[in-house]
Amino acid sequence: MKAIILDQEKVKTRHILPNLWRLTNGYGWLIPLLLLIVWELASHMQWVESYQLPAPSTIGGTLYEWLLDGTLWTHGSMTTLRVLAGFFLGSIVAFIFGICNGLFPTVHQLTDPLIQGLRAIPSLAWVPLFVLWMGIGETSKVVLIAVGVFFPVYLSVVSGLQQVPKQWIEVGRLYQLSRLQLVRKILLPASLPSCFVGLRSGLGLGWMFVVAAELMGASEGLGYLLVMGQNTLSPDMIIASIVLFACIGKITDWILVSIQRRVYKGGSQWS
Amino acid sequence: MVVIEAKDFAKYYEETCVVNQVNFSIEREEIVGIIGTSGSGKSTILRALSGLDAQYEGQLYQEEQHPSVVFQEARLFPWLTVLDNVLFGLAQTEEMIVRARMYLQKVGIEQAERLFPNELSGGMAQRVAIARALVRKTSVLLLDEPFSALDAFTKMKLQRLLLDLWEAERTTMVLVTHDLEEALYLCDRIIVLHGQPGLVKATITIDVPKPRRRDDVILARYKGKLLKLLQLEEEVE
Repeated sequence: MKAIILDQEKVKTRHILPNLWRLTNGYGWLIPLLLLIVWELASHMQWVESYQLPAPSTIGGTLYEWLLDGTLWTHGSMTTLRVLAGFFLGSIVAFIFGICNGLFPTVHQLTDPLIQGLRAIPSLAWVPLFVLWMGIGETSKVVLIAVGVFFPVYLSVVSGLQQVPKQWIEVGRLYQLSRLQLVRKILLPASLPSCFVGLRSGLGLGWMFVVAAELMGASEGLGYLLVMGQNTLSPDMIIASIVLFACIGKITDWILVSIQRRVYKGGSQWS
Repeated sequence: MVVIEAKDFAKYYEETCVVNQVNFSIEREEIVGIIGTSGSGKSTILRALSGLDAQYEGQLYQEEQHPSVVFQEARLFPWLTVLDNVLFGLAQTEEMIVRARMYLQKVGIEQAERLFPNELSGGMAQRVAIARALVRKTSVLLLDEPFSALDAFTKMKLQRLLLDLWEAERTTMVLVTHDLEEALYLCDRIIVLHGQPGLVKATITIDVPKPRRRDDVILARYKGKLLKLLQLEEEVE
């Protein structure tokens, strides 16, 4: 035990600098950085036309402008809100269906074939129908995102519950846990890692679908900026929007990972 | 006083008979070993005793309805700390927490109570599993090859620990093992299963007071007898 404590202390003092290295992914930055320099150079030397591919510095300028005039906040927050609304809606429904399907074989037999069948439909094929049903406003957008989020979350909740090791369930039986206690104390915590995998890929898909949702008609949002960029022939706007998508997407994923770490406590994975 | 009794116990998996005509009785405070080659149904008997498997033929009488079980793997829950694992399924009263800490101390890992299972070595995890089994107020402890996944030295330490715990608490123990030395070191009686389906070939009383010396010559003689019973003798020689 002493040895463990000593080790941790050592680790703490040793890690301040390397942490920075690890946080920035070390060598992983080298090639992107090199590409960025080449890109900048190519624009300045006019190897590529700037109306097709503007320099990184121009894109950075656009982003800075957006930050100053509030564009970034207005459109960024709108898109993020849509993703979050769709993500929560999709996840909640997926958890309800996933838990019922994972716990009750009869429900699984009854509903899983239908859900798998619906999954086979490319989700974007729903767009015309949703627009027809719910109009072009927020509802249809959020529902479309929720549909995208639903399937990965549903699948991982079901498989997480179905794959809880028998050994753990047996321990529960030795303690005469009721069905509800078994679910609460063993099945749900044991399937958490799988659920988080699903939530993360669901969130990723949410970001994918928000683009589709905003392309189908929006007056606000990063997707709207993309369309604007296309219509006003400003590639810097398009690329700046893409960069924003990447950044905000990454931040939301990072938040999810932090929650995951906090919830797990006992290590990054178990099964 | 008999606390466990099996009468004509038999177990079938579909059509295949795994153990047949098993009769034995276990007295209070006894440590009884069940040994046998693999496939002779020793774990099957233990699962039936633990209540995990109720589909058997014959009769099992048990005074203790809910015996504690220690498995080959520690089976700790990775999302709970050591202390919470020991307290699993119990009311988390002040009294229970004190009791759990006492058992963690008895198995020698009281400093580790805040650690998570993935921070423990195999031996430490198994110590926690033993503490978890003992913290419940049961009079019978079932052990299913509890040390077979551990290295030789850790194994010996934990065998000694089990014996110390037995001396302090006098818990009745049923130990399933394929380790003859382990059975000879710990058990008052050894039930030898043999064949497929497993039949009780003999029950041997080890007439040596505990704690025993591992290099005891008398134990070596018992070992010879066991090997002969298990028909492993020729291979060994």
